[in-house]
Order: sequence, then structure tokens, then C-alpha cells
Amino acid sequence: MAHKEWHIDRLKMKPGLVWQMAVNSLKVRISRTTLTLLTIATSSAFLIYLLTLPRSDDLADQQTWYLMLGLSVLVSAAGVLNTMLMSVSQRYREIGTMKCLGALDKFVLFTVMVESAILGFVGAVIGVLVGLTISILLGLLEYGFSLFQYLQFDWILLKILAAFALGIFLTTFGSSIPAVIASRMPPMDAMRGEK
Amino acid sequence: MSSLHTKTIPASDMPDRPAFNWLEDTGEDADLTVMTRDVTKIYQMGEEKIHALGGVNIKIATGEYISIMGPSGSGKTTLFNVIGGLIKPTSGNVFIDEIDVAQLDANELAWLRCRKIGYIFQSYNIVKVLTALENVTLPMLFAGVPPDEAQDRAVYILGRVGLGDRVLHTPKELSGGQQQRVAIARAFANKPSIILADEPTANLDLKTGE
Repeated sequence: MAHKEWHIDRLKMKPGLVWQMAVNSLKVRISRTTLTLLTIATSSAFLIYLLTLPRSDDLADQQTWYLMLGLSVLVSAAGVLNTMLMSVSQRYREIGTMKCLGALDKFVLFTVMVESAILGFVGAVIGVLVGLTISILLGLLEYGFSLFQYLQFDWILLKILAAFALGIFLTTFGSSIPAVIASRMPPMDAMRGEK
Repeated sequence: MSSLHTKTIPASDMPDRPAFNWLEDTGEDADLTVMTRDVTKIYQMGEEKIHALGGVNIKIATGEYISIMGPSGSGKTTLFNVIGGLIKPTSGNVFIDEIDVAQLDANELAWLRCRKIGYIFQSYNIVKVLTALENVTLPMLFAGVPPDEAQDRAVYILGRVGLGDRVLHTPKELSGGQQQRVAIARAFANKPSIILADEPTANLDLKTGE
């Protein structure tokens, strides 16, 4: 009978390699990265600006404010989800190739998720900084140095946290769907871009 | 459709080894690396069923060099993909060193692709965002080779395929022939037992192809 020269083994995923690949992918696709960052940053900047906007007790004003908040979240969610979906869908071939070389399903998945989370985090940092700056500058123009009496800066940490959570959730959620599909496909189907 | 014409050629560096005839069961199972049993593959294209493979039985021994020839659409690439564990056959079994590939879970399959099989594709399929060196290093990193060692070996193999001065170039900066040589280097990275090459020179000019 045949002698076995080797036996089937299992591969381990290396977190360091996941990080390295994610960062490399962001660096190499710098124009797409910038575009995605811009989308996320704009969304969270507008969110922070709205959340710190001075509010009157007038009911009509309140309703307008909630409407703006709802609409802005909806629009930014659609924008970010679309960007992330597209960016992963364009990489089916690359994912298939990596699977041929022995990439584990979870390696593919984690790389995409880490990449998205970095985008969401950095985008939110930029967005929060820009949003706060705009809010404070406009407040200064309108109210002078007593601006903090008018701007809604109470619960500010919670509001910043909300912007971060939204940014990271939208990017990871948007990329998770195509990433899960691509990582589970047989390599050749992924390389052909079939769904 | 399944008019697969197969021809065996003894490896040139093993002149003493007789050509292995896959049509007959010679009982020479000792060195058997790949065996397929009644492998079929049916693609469903809307209403139409395309029988790409109609019960293929093939045996490939260790050290053997086999060319599979046939007109386009005869199922060469499908057979390549089925043997390589890149797609699942509709029915039948593929054995690699006596292990039924269908029995393996996703992780074991990844190990098999990583350590035991080297793929060379018609359309290169090298990762566009990585340099030549990184492309060759990647399968070794997946296999758990320490990064320094992987890099040394990648540089060595790239040198062997004549790209010693091109290691840090990205695929965009390489010609078609050079990209395919990166793919060949990558296929050899983990010292696989099986090298599968699907028309590796189809996209190259005659001189580079040779």
C-alpha cells in the first residue's frame, strides 16, 4: 500500500499578518481610502454639528431638528454602506486568489473587517474634530465668548462616542455582507466574481 | 463535451522512470499522488445543463509530468480546478495522497492548497496590491514560515525565475511574462507536492513561453 509522506494539518491565522494586510491594502488604494474617509468624516462632522447646535424650545424648531438628524443619519448610512459594499465587491478576484494560496476564510473576513474598522475610526476622528471646530467657530461668530451657554455641549463625550459608534458600525456592517459571501465561496467562483 | 484527451510525458529529469499509464491500473499505487474516481461536473446555465466533466478517472504518480490537451470547452480547466480543490465536483471523488478532498473541512482544505498544491493560472492571478516579493512571500506566511526566512526564500526563487532585479516591483510595473514568472515563483514557494498549471504560457509570447 501507499505510504503517506504527509498528513493533513490545520493552518493558524496570524493576527499580525491580518493587520499588515489591512494597512497595506489601505495604503495601496490610497485614493479609494481617502474617498471613503471623506464620506465618513463628512457624515460624522455633520452629526456632531447637529448635536451641538443651539436648540430653542419651540416645537416646530424641535421637529425640524429631529427631521434633519434623521435624514442626515439615513443619507450618510446609505453613502457609507454603498462605498463599503462596492470596495469589497471589487476584490472578489483578489480574495479568490488569496484563498488559492491558503488564506483561511476567517483571515479574509478579518482583514476586510479590520480595514473597515480602521476606516470608520479614522473617519470618525476627523469628522468629530471638524464638526466640533465648525460648531465652535459658528458659535463664536454668533454669540461671542459666551458660546457655551448656547451650544449643546452637555453630554458631549456621549455625543462624540455616538459619532464613533456610527462610523465604525456603518463601515464594518457595510463590508461584512460581501466579505462573508466572498470568504465562503470556493476560490474559483470568487475569482470569477460569481455570487 | 467530455472528450478529454490525455497524454502522459515522463519527466525529463527522470529518464529512468517509465511513463505512467493512467488508462490501466498498473498496480503501481505506491507513489500515487492524485487519483480521481468518476468525477463529473455539471454547470447549470439557466435552463441549460453543461456537462463539463463526464466521469473522469485519472491517476497521477509522484514525480510524473502530465499534459492534458483538448479543444477549448473540453473541460481542462474544470479538471484542473476540481483536482486543485478550487471547485467542488458535482459527483465523484478526488483523492490526494489517498485523502478524499471532499471530506476535508475549510481549514484543512486551506492547508492543502497552501502546503501541497502550487497553482499557476492562465491569467496570472497575482495580487495586484502587493509587490512581486510580497506575492511570493504570502503563501509562506500563510503556512507559518517566519517572515525573514520567507523573504530570503522568496528572493531566491524570484532570482531563479530571472526576476532578481524586479523583486520590489508591483504587478503594474511588470510585463505579462514577468507577472507569470512571479506566479510560477509563487507556486513553488511552499515546495508543493503537486504543481497544477492551467495553460501557463497561453498569454505569453512564444519565446517567453519556452
